Amino acid sequence: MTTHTSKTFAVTALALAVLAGCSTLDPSPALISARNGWAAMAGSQNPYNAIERGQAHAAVNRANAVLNGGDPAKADLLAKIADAKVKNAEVVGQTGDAAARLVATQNESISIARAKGMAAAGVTAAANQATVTTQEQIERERAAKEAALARRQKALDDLKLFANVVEDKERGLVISIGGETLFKVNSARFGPSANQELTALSVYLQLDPRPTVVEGHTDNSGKPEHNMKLSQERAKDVMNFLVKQGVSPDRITSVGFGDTRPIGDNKTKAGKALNRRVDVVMVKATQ
Amino acid sequence: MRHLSKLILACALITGCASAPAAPWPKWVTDAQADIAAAQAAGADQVPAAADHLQKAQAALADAQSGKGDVGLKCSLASSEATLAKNIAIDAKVKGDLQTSTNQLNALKGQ
Repeated sequence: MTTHTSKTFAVTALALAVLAGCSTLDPSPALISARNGWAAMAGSQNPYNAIERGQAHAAVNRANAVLNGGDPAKADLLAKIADAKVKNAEVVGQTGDAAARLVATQNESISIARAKGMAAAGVTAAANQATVTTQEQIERERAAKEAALARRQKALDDLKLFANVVEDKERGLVISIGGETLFKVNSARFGPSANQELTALSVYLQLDPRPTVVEGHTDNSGKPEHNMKLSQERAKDVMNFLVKQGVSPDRITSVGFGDTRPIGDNKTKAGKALNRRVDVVMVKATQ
Repeated sequence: MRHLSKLILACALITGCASAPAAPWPKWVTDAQADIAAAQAAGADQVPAAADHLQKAQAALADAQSGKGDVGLKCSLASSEATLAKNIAIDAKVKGDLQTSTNQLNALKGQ
């Protein structure tokens, strides 16, 4: 009995130790705040903060995901970033609502002043000035957002000159670049045209803030282990290049799939060429 | 003579280091600096709630520039906090204007 009890105790202690080693980090106060803030606005249809809500959601997802990685410093920073982005979305939404009410109030004041035969311009001069200032500020913000969207579209059009770009319903935006375009044969070293093409890619990524995964893929020539290693190295090299170009490292990761995810027929030359590729996936936001 | 040659070598090394051009900050550092400047331009210093986030942005950027922790993530935090500070300052301005306008409307209705 004693032996049985001590064995049971030892097994339980071992299991607990293993579990403790594998356990995820506890969410920090910043992450709890971000989660609660996001939960409160998740179903919002506020037209004034649509972009900021998207950024907040992506940041919360990213902070949640890193809890499993066991890096407390990184988890803490990502939680604080997520919290700031959620609060920012809240503020921008409130500002839009307040600005709309300001315009309505202003218009009502002018109507009443006119109805009473007063000089509307004189009556509302001070408030008009305030409205003009506010409207100018909001207009500048709106124009900046529109300009950013136009720049993003231009950068995407440039990418399409050498990459296959597909909006995948499940995965998000997939930018697929042929392996031969970027790398020397059977190597993770960049080829001569890689610099120009990866620079164009980095320009786009800096204009589209979605979390990004760089995926390396090969055809089925050679050993699977070699293909896996090669695809991982290529994906990592592309990611490192993009980070050096200014893409924030908090939103980009790399992974190699070797020859396990073909999109073409490995029995044909054309199919193999399709399979040798790097996919840059701009992850679709999930609810 | 040997001391002299060592001295010359040391001087050459020091001069070489001093004249080497400083490496440019990564783009995310300059982005964070620009976001902080934009928050200050929007008056974030003058609005207490915004000033708090502006200080957090400045602290995160200072950490990044001194190489403390993950530079990219620190800059990303600095940018996020600075953007929040800027938008809180704008929000305060808009809501102040709305209050002024509402008071005026109420006064008009009462006349």
